[in-house]
Amino acid sequence: MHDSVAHSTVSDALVRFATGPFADQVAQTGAKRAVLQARANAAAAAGTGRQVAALLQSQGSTANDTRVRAWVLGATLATHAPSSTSTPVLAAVIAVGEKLAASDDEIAAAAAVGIEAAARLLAAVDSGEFQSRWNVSSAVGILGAALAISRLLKLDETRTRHALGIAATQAAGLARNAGESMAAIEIGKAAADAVEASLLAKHGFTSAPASIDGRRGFAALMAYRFDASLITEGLGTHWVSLQ
Amino acid sequence: MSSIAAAFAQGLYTLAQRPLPPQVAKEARRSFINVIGTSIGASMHPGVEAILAAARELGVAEIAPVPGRGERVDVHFSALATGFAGHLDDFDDTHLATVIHPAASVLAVLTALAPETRPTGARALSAFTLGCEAQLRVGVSISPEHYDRGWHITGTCGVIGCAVTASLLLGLDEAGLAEAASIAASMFVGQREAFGTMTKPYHPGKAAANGIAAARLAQQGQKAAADVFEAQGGYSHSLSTKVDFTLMNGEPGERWELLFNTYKPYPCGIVAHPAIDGGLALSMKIDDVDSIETLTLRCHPLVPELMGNPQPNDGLQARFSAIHGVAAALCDRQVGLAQYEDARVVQDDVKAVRARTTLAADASVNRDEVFIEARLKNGSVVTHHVDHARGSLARPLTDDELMDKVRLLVDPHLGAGTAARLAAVVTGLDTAPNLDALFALCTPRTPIKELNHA
Repeated sequence: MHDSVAHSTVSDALVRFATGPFADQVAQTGAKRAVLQARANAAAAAGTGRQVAALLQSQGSTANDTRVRAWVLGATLATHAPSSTSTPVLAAVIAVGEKLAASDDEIAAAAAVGIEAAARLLAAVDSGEFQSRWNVSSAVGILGAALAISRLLKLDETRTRHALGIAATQAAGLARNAGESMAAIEIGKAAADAVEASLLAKHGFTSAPASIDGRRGFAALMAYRFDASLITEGLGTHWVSLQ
Repeated sequence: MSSIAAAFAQGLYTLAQRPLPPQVAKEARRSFINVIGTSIGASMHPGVEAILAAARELGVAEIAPVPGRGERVDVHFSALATGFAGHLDDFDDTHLATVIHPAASVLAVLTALAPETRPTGARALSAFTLGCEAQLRVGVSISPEHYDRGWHITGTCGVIGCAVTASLLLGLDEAGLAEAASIAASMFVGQREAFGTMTKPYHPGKAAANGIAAARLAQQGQKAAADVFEAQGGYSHSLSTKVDFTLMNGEPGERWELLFNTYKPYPCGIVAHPAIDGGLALSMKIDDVDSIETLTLRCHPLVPELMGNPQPNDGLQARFSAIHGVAAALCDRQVGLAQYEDARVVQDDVKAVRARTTLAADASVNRDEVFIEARLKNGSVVTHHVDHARGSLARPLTDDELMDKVRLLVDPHLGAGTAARLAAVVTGLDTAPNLDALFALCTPRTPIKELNHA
């Protein structure tokens, strides 16, 4: 009855990328700039941020709930400026980075990993059909964000793979809401869900090994073409998100 | 012309303003006590521990319960944990036409929101029922293509039903209900790739949490596209290649999908259930399992195909072994979670019976039917024919059988007599002023982690 496969080259590559040593100065610098820009955007959109925070206040139970904080940040950033698959990644790493008091380098490395992974995942599935059905920023961004947060939380390979799976199974957001305020809510929620996925995996929650490329995984259900090589080839050495 | 979401909300909101038809209320109560049982039965699972640990790490407030647990967490994590536990092991209810398990996610919404919304018993049962009905109606409107493609329909449709339940509990009006369902539409969750992992039962848990999130957003005035169900790039056409909105919105109050809900007597794949029925019937006729020389089950070919493991090594493998279910039935004369504990599966007595048992596939045997034959060492033959398995639509579980199941799930964990007291509360929901008595019974009186493995 269970026909999920035990291994996936796509998951393996993404997980190794997210957990491995990181020494690419150019990527690090680019990600640091992206984090700074996101923080500046959030500050510039302080009024929007307060509105979003009020809207989402009832989603959490304490003032500094990191999951809800990521949601607010993501929705604020997506309201303030055009979004991309990077938006949930940046919202999540800023929220969790603050909570953990992580260093700027750690936050930048996590952001670099998440942004690059999300960009490659989008390249692997992108098409007119894909864009016309889903909110691309939320549906793909959640995957990069889960990898980024897993890195910030220093999860091992196994747990990072589970986090990716927990994120993939809830990749969501609809193209029909594009241009409506709901789209920003979806993008922020992707950041929040990625935080949740990584935390659950940290505490032993399990998920599918082939969540991206499995027969009933993310790509099979949501994409209308899938080129795994655009994820795996040169991952960690060639940075598509820097172009 | 009104939108699909508006018509959907109108039908459900109208039904919420009047008493449930007696037959529907009766089925809802059966569904309710069943899922209370499954959620308590799985409440000490490592997946629940992981969810509660994540909640602790986030520092959430202690607001809402989790059935079977002493801890309280916030609304979000109460919903996650309750929906997860309710669906673990696929031991909850099943709407066979869609294979939606509707009750776990909806119970999770009720559990999470009860402290804040303080519904009466009647209001709670109505919100529970309409949440089930709502998701089943969404489900039939996109079945079977949606599930066949690989979506886990329990989560993807469950989220809409959960938004309905949450909206009714929060007191939203008809327009608010439409908005909540529309917002929930872009919060679908669940890919079948995750089957066999903790992420499968996470789907109804997250559906519950998302449904609540959607209702709260609607309450705050958030809006989604009004035509988010029917539009291109919206829910229905993005998630299925076949869509029939008359099945979603037609005949409100006349057709009740909830009446086609079924309950599993045994915590394993449904195709093995006739065989286990047969094993239990023979166990009443055979005093000593050692007297069995051979045991043969003439069964539908899907039984060996899907459940053919002859000698499982742990509880998860045993769930895909019809032969184990039969052996456990003969050895223990009951088949509940205890018969699928890792330690039970590898004991000598069940191993020995399994070694003497054969599945004989026969395409002339129906899926809910089995012929079982034991040849004893003294030369005699004992047989039994199961016409329709217990828990099938043709032979629903009786109320007594349902309570036997719930007792095995609840009492080992919360103490003898608890299941019966819970059943009495559920029976009296119509006149209950609130759910305090229900959730008090679901809460262990002392820390009893050590007593879990019954």
